Amino acid sequence: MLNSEFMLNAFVAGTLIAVVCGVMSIFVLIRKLPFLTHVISEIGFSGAAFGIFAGLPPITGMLIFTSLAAVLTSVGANKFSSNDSLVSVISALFMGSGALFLTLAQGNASYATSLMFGSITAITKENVQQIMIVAGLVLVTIILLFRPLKYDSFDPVGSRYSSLNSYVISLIFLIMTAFTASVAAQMVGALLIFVLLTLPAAIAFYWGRNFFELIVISICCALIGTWGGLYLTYVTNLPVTFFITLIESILFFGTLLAKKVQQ
Amino acid sequence: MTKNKTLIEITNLTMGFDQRLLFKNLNMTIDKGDFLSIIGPNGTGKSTFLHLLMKKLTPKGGKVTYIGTNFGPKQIGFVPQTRNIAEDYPLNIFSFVGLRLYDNLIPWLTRKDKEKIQAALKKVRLTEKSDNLLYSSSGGEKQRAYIAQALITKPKMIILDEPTNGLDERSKNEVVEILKNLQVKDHVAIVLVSHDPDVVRKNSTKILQLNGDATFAVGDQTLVEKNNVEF
Repeated sequence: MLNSEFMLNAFVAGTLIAVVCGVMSIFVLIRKLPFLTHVISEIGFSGAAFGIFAGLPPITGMLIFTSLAAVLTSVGANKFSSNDSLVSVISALFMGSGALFLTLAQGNASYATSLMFGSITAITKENVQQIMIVAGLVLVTIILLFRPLKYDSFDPVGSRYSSLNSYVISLIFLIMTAFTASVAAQMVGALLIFVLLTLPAAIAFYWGRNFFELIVISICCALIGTWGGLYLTYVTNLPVTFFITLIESILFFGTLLAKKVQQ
Repeated sequence: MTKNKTLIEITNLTMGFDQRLLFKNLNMTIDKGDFLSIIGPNGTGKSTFLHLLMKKLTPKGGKVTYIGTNFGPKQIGFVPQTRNIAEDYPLNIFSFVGLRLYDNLIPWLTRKDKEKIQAALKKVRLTEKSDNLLYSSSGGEKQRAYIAQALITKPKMIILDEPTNGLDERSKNEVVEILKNLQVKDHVAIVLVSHDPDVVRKNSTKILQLNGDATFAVGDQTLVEKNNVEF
């Protein structure tokens, strides 16, 4: 399977994406941000369309749009109280722009589909290098910010009254979420990034007894879904996103069942 | 007890919202080893006063001054009235207390960190329960864990917003005893908002009574009877 170049690219990219998503999903769930993550991933689609229109690599367009959305949401949430309405408006605005840029760029339907749902054949060597850089940046940032981020995520009220700058931590985290969404979209597509940014952690919370275990289990779940998905796609030629969502869902419902039986 | 040393000096402090003044020209000091209770009915500015002490709000007039080079925001531990802790997750008391050790780039807790956590847990008598999950702990244990977290940086002052609220008599006494020990043995200044006449009468070295109409009174334990204070 790994003899073909596109599968090797997909495997390396998938592994990086799974590790980053495994770590980030823990914080996404603790900070109660699944909705925002879904919105950011949709905005990633618009960003990619903008990239095609502007003659930039789609990932650059995604990074610009998702980061901009993260900053706007963060600044807006700091100034206004109705965060969900604000996120909805920003999402609608960026998605509308996505439709516009796709039309202006005269992008074809199949490209739009691959942006929305992901594709392993579309991952080139350059994509892998871009994913490596962005994934590395996200992981290093999270490691450097680990303790303050953990405090701010588990105990937001306490963190606000400490000497930490809670707002800056939140902003950096949202930008890192935007970066993660941009790289993950290469494989699972803009519409389904939240699968890898929520489900691995959701499963880990049932099994992990401490924070280290949470991270390890979450990364393992993301890797099982991604590697399993790649293999099944290679064998069946069906979409990788379908298999990743299927495997993650089986792991999640299997966990629920196992916990029910344990009780 | 060692000779009182001023930690915070409050000068002509005036605060209010919109047209309403909560207190005007408030002057007092908070010294090392003080047990200051802030009392008064709801909405009179007690929590606001705490926020002013921590410089999380800007006053309408006057100022709060931290005295000495060894005293600043990092030497103040705060125990808020309500917490929004991620309780659905496996967070044990030990890890919760360690959350406040964030000034370190090493992601995991070092041996020194663990010693600090153990020391803080010992002060609140939670050593035996450090592995228990926070969300399944009793109200009194949670409150003691919150105090341990505030103690982790060895603060010179601890500010608590209604720390005995909702606790049964036994848990309340445990919390008060811990605070009293910190005040008497470690000379930590305790500043708390309380609606509990017992806690205020028995323990306070200073009382600040806020009336919410720009007036206030500063005194010792006798102030409660003298002013027929409403809790």
